[in-house]
Amino acid sequence: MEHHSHVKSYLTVYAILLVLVVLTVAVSLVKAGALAFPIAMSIASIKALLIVLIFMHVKDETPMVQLYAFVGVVWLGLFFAFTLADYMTRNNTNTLLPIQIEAMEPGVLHGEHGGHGDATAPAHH
Amino acid sequence: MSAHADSPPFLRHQFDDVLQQRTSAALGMWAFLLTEVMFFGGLFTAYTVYRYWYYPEWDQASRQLDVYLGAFNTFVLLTSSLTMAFAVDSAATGKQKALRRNILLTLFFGIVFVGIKGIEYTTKWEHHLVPGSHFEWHGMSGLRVPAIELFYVFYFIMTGLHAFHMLIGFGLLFTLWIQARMGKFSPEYYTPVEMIGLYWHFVDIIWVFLFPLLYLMDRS
Amino acid sequence: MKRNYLNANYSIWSWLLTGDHKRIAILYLISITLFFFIGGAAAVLFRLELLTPQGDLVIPEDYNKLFTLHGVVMVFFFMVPSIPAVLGNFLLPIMIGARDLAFPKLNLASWYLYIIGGIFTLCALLQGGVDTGWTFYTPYSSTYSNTAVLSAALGVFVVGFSSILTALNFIITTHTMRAPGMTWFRLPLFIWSNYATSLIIMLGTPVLAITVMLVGVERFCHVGIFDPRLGGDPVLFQHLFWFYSHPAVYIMLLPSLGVVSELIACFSHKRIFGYEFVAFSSLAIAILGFLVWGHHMFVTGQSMYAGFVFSFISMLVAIPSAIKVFNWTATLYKGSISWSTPMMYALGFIGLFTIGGLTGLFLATMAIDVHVHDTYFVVAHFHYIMVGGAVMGYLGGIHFWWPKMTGRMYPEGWGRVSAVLIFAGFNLTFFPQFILGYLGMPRRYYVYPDEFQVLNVMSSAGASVLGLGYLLPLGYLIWSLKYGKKVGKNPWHAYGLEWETDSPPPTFNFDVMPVVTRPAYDYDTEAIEQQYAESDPQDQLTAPPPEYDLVNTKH
Repeated sequence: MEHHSHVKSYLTVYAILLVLVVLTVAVSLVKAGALAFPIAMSIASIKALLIVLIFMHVKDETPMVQLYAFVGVVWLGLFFAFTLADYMTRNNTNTLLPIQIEAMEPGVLHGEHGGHGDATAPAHH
Repeated sequence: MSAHADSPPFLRHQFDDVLQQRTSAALGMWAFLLTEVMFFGGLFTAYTVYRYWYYPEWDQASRQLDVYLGAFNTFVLLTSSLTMAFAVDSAATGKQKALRRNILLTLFFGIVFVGIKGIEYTTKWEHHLVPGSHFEWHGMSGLRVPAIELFYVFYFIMTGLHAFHMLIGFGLLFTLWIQARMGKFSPEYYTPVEMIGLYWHFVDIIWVFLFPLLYLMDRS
Repeated sequence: MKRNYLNANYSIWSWLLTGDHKRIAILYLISITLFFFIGGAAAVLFRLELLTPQGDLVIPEDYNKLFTLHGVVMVFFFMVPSIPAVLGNFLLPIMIGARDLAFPKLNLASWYLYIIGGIFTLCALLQGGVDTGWTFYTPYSSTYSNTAVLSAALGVFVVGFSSILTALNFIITTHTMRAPGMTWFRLPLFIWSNYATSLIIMLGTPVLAITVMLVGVERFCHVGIFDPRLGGDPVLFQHLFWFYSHPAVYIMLLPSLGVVSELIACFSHKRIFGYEFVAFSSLAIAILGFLVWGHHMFVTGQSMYAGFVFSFISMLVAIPSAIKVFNWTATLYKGSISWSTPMMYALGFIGLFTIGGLTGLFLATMAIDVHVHDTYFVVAHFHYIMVGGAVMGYLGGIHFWWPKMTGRMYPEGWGRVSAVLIFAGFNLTFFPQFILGYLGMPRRYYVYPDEFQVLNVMSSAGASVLGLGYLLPLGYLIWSLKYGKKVGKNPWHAYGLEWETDSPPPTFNFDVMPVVTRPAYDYDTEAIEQQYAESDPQDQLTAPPPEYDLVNTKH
């Protein structure tokens, strides 16, 4: 079967990947606040996409293989989405359990009925 | 009946032709990688939940990881992916010597990666950061310390599982090298090289996500 | 005697090192039957205990170990593998017109993994058992239980990979190895069901694997992943566990739905009504089944809003199941019905599965679930589907394809008697449990208030009838191997590629590889009546092959 050498595209992708590694480390050294996580994940996703499409040849593969690659990402995404949908919509203002609040700050729960220890609540991300 | 007298020696009896065999192998490897995505995925989901719960503690914990060593290791692993891609290319164009060389290079860079991880693990042990009875953390009190320890639990499980997959990869690559030396591969048949390549790239992708998640929480 | 897959080679190594999917199916048949009776024995013991309101047969810890054994063995070592590993392995390549599965060595590996997983689990039994329930909830399983959790977790971990290898084989084989002319919409619905099941296995089982691994790590290394004292969340375990274990119930159910389609079509002597709807409904169940797992966690402190979503989608997943039931009913209408043993199982399935499915809707309603969660209502619900549904489908399939697999017919009279006993015994066992649950009797309890005794006695009495019903086929099927009437290619006058080859089939399934020219379930055509009257069904496949529809293999 015909096979053209892909060496050039591999080297190009490799160079881009190295640049992206430098970039992602650089971004983490800068105060990006709430954006840090989305940016890091976006860069990682681009790297992964390049590896999948070029190194793993998915760009040239049959639609069925492309579907398999796509489904994996989607399924994991669904798992994340539905699980986080629980954690992020729970009613707690403080995600620590009562036994934990009690251990960290003994007595605080007895003073307040219901125990929302907001003074000790860690900052969420 | 099954394969005719003139069919190639690498054609298995259950397949009608080489194309069917190659397509089956490719789909089979991708299906397997799908299971690996879900396998690591469960771990990543648990990680995400606790990161959401314990962000400040996990931030503190992650700063103990050596980001430059981690970045260097990322370079090493990406390079091994490059040489693996070259290996597939060599096989497809019939360059036997380059094929063997590229397989060995991939194996070499993989071993360097795991070696560096070994150094990192040893350092963690010396700093009392390995979870369990030996774990110590100063500067935080009460139950924040278990939260920090939980970060390291995930650090060791996630990178450990990744390293385990690399060890399996070493076995596969070594077997591949032996088979290449025996002249098993040609432009007509190099499916095992391709398939092991897919596996290797996948292990690389896992690290591509592990590195920012574990090392790059917030270094500012 | 003509050479077939059974007499091709008699040595033990030709069985233990076989690549033949049919032999692997028989190896599985023997293994899962053994585990079925182990799980059944555990049930006999705890149903005996429940004859009286007091705890008098076993100590409470042992009671916990009995229901755990029953659950672990029945779910992981019987229900999940049953139809795919036995009937699927045997029939899939034949039904699509292939010589074998795509990866025969992986197939054999899957059986060995099953055996290894089984050995680890039996080790847990020998180490004194496990008392966490098959659901392994943390932190009891990860920290506090003093029983052999690690062995059991290891067993479940290993058998999960057995499952994955089978599923992988099925998916690839269905994609790439269909005979010329066998397009997707000419496939038997049994294949569609196994395909959908395999998708679920591939996407869900790995999460179970990582979950039991985490429990194992927590136990072994004494760290706190799910332990609240150490910052962990027990509910996280439940998310991870049920992400697999809810789709797992569809793994257990879907293949049986496929079997029922085959049985209804054959014994109504009619094409399945709404073939495409039934095919797509299998895929719909597979997909929707992944998005409902939180309905096991309504009372755990899970977010109410997440609960809404899970509840709503749980309602939706009932729809494709209902579509199947409606289509089967429409198939029966004006069909030419025969009351064979497999048909009795299929009809029993439709009724019992419908009851089980409808009670699922009660459970999916959050407000009702608060009342009946962790009661016998849940136990009755899932047994109606799993036993009244899936197991009856399995038995129906075993009886239907027994002549094909063995070349011998079982005694029909005994078959019908067993089917009736199973149906009656099943209902007597589990219907009272709906009432018990509604009245408030909790599950997994070894004692109960005196007023529940009558219903419990009924349930235990039913269990003995059910047990007898299961023992009878064990007897007469083995009997038939030597004394059963020998059959030809198509004793049921059914339609399908498996009925066009010998009983038992040759090692490579067909003497001449088939070319398919007719639609699925082509029962209505007059030509078929004539063709099946002919002695050599191979002659019918002489049409030139049309453009076929293999996987697009462009390079």
